[in-house]
Amino acid sequence: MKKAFNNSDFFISVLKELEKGNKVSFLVKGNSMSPFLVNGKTEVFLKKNYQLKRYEIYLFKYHDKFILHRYIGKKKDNLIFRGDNNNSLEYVSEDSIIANVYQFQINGKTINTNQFFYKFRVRCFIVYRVFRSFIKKILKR
Amino acid sequence: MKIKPNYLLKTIGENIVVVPLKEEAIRFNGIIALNKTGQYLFQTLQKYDLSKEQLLTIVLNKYNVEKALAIRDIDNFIEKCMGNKLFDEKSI
Repeated sequence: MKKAFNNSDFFISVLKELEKGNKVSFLVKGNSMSPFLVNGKTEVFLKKNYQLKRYEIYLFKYHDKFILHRYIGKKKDNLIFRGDNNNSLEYVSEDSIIANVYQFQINGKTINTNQFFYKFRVRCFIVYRVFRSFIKKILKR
Repeated sequence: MKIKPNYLLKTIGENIVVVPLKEEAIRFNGIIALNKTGQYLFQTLQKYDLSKEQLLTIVLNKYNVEKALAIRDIDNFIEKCMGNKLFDEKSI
């Protein structure tokens, strides 16, 4: 039987390990990053040392919650994040970022976020999102 | 019995847990919760390769508990370790 932990306690332990320079992994909770990260199925691997890159996934603190979303751009001093399955945006300062997802595993398959094919899929998805919202707007008229 | 080297003892809040270290990452999805006795047994078996009888002697020397209770705790711990394949196979 799997033991459930308080979310905040869990992330404090994760943060401690990241601060020590260790790489950590855990299972994704929630569907906000679907279809790339699947609730309870995708194991994400994180590390603290990273270079901020557009369309990469980061763990950050937002309104006292720990969130794993994609970095989509910058506005003035704020970085903009969004879940792949969300419409809402999160504006956060750079010091709110904790770690970067460098790899994830799903159904026994390991995907490195540096892989060309993965990056290509992400970009296609982002274009598809724009196209999808455009079509929705037209259909609403 | 000896614990494999790629398992680490951590705390999450007030919980004592064992997490695997695999592919250079501490895997927080493979958490195994332990009680205080389990923590002590785990730390002991990280250092030494011991039999169940040796563990019992150590536990009885450390804790002021009845032998039957100590045996039950050790059996539970061994069962948990076996179930999660925490023991070095050469040491079983």
